[in-house]
Parts: sequence; structure tokens; C-alpha cells
Amino acid sequence: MLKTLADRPEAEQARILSAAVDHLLPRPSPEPELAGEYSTAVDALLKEITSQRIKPTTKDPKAVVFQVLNGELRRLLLDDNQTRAAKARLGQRGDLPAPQYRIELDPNFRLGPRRRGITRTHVENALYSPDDVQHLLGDRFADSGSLSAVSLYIKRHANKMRPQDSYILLVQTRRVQDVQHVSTAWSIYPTEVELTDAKTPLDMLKAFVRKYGVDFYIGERKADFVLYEAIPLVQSGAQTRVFHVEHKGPLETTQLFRQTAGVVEVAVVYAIDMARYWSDLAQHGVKIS
Amino acid sequence: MAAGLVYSTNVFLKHHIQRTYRGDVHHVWCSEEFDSAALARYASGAGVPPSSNPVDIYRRLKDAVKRGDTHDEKIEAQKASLASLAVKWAEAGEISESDRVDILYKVNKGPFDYWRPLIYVIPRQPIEARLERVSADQCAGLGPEFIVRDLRGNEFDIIEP
Repeated sequence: MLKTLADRPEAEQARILSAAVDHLLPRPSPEPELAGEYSTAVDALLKEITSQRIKPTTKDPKAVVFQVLNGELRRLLLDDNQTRAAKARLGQRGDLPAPQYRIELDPNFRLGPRRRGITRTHVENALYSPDDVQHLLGDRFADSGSLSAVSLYIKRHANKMRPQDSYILLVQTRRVQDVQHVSTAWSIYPTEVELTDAKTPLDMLKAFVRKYGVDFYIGERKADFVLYEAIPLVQSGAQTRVFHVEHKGPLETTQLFRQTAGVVEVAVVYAIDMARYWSDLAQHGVKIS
Repeated sequence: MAAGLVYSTNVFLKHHIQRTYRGDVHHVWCSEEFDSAALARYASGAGVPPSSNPVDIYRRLKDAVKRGDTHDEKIEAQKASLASLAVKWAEAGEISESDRVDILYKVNKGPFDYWRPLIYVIPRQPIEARLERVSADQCAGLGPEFIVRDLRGNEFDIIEP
């Protein structure tokens, strides 16, 4: 620690460092100057930094001083615990840079996307270097936390030899702090799905569901796509069915909801007719394992 | 007669922080000319030096980010400035303690392209009354420079070439 700051309370150290930054900035600070109260300390601090860190050969002395001041603020106010907490908080809000999320594949990934040839590497490419990403409302329902924190990533895969086989990989995840749990992923072929008006990843998912989705019921409510809604459950007979589909044939459903006191809180629910989807995938040379 | 636009170059993270934690109200330093070097030698805005000229600031930041120059003075100054502002805002009760930590996290642990430059193009007429002429002793050169302390997010366009 710099001698000038030693033996001072942390809050005072932070104020002195902040005042030193203001003092050096080439333009008026937007906030009231603190340097007045701490002008002697700021002066001593800058002299100490200069004598310790700046040599006649130092290429950019002012950059070094700024670096030291920021480093001291970081030491004071961003320890390892605070770093972990910030990462978790920002991650839950969808406010963490893409590469800082950890990726975990949900157990169902092997039964769905993996069978369609989508690998962990595809998912990592989409999440770490997306063409677009949309973090959907994480706080739609009180205390729902990670239940309703859905992210959608897209990555374009161009095929120059066979342009009709170019596709967009859409990866759907559930955010739990700084971990992205991969729920599912879909290869969307613009030759099969009308994407002209799809501006966002959510638009693309909706267009995909319009093409391959089937109707389902949540309680008494019939729908083909539900996003962030609270749906009342009507008690009928001995048992109330929360979710059911009448469609016969292979389906892949994405259900993300919880039931509370006669209401189902839905984050995102849809059901895909896999026979139709597989048939289109086969047209593009995708083998289902 | 005043020109129709003023220009400002700011790093992405500054914009993000002011939008997220300051209610989309931005404090900007701006200039009547995007490139003072392109003006006639004795024109009014021609005296704005490279350190305050929006296009020069843009080029410098863009180049530093492209080269991954983690010791660039402008970027180091921005890091220290944003960290320092977070301290002051928290102390004034304008942001929470956890917001302060989050800002420090973004400043120190964010990807390097957080420091990429954005160009603000600001229609002058709606903000004319809020344009503060920077006093001569605060200007980097002889050309006029301005501050807007409360530029709202819907009062300017961003160009990210």
C-alpha cells in the first residue's frame, strides 16, 4: 500500500484516490471537487507515485499514474469476494460479457440437440462469440430468480458451397448467476423458416415455433407459444393437468414454469413437432442419431 | 450562426455505465466540429487540438483497442475516471454499494473492447441552453469546446463505425 494512504480509514483512502484522479483529468469533473479537503494528501500521493513508479525512461508517465490510482481503488473496493458477488449478480441480470459465463449442458441436451449433430463446440461458439444475444426478462415474477432468466443466442453458419444449407444456430439457456445452463438448441434454415421480419433472437425463435410448433394446454389455456405469463389453473376433477399436448408423434417440449397457488408462472413454453423438423433437417443432410 | 450539430467521442463502457446506472443521462465533452483539422486554418473551430478533436480521439481509441494496448493513456484515464466516479456516486447515495462494486468489476474485469470509441452526434438546437462553453484555461487549445452535463439518451445518435 502507498505510504500516503496507510493508517487512514478505507473510505478516506477512496476519497483521496478519487480526488487525485480528478486532479489529473484534463477536463472539469462532472462532480464537485474533493481535492480541496484532501489537497495535501493528493499532492503527497502523486509525489509518492511519481517517485516510486516513474523513471526517466518511462514512456507514458501519466498512464502509469492513472494505472496506479485505479489499481489502488480496485485493491480497496473489489476484493475476491466482491468480485465473485459482482460476477454472480451481473450474470443473473444478463449483464456479464459473453465469454465470462460458464457453460453447462442440461442433461436433456444429449437427447435433443446432440442427436441432431449439435455439439458442445457449436454451443460454445454461439455463446462466446454470438452474432446476436438477447437476455430476456429475469425479474418478471417475484423471487423467480434463475427460473425465468432466459437467454437466446444466435450464430450464423454460412455454407458457401451450398447456400441453401446455411443455417442459424439458436441456443436457448437459463441463467443461474454466472452459469448459462443450455436448455436446447435449434438449427434454423432460412430456406425453411420465414425469417424476413425476424429482427431479434426471440423473433427467430417465434418464427421457428410458427413453422414447427404444435398446440398445447397450460391448465385450460390453449397456445403454441407462451412467454412470461401467469396463467390461472382451474381445478377440474380430482387432478388438474398443468401441461399437456394432444399431438401424437415425437415432440420436444421446452417447459420453463413453476406453479404457485392456483397459478402457473410461465417463463417460456413451446412444443416442437419433431417429425416435421427432422424431415426438413434431412433435406439439408442432417442425420439424426 | 451556430452549426446544427455538435460531436463527442466516448468509450462504450462510459456510455453503458451512464445509461445503466445514471438513468441514461450522459455527461459529455463536445465540439462544434467533428474534425477540426479539416477546417480552414483560421476558421473558428480550427484551433481544437488533437487531444480534444472528436475524430482524433476516435482514431486513437480505436487504434489502441485494435492493438490491445492496455497501457494507453486515454484508456487508463477513462478507467481511473469511471472508478473514481463510482466512488463519488456511491458516497453521494446516487448508486448503491453493489452498483459501485459492479461498475468497478466492469472497469477492471470487462473485455478490452469495452474501451472502443462511440461517436455521439448531437443536434444542437434542443440542447443549446445546456451547452456550457468551457473556459479558455480548461480548453486543450484555442478552439471552442463545450460540456453538456445532462444529455439524455434520446437527444443524440451514436455512430459506431
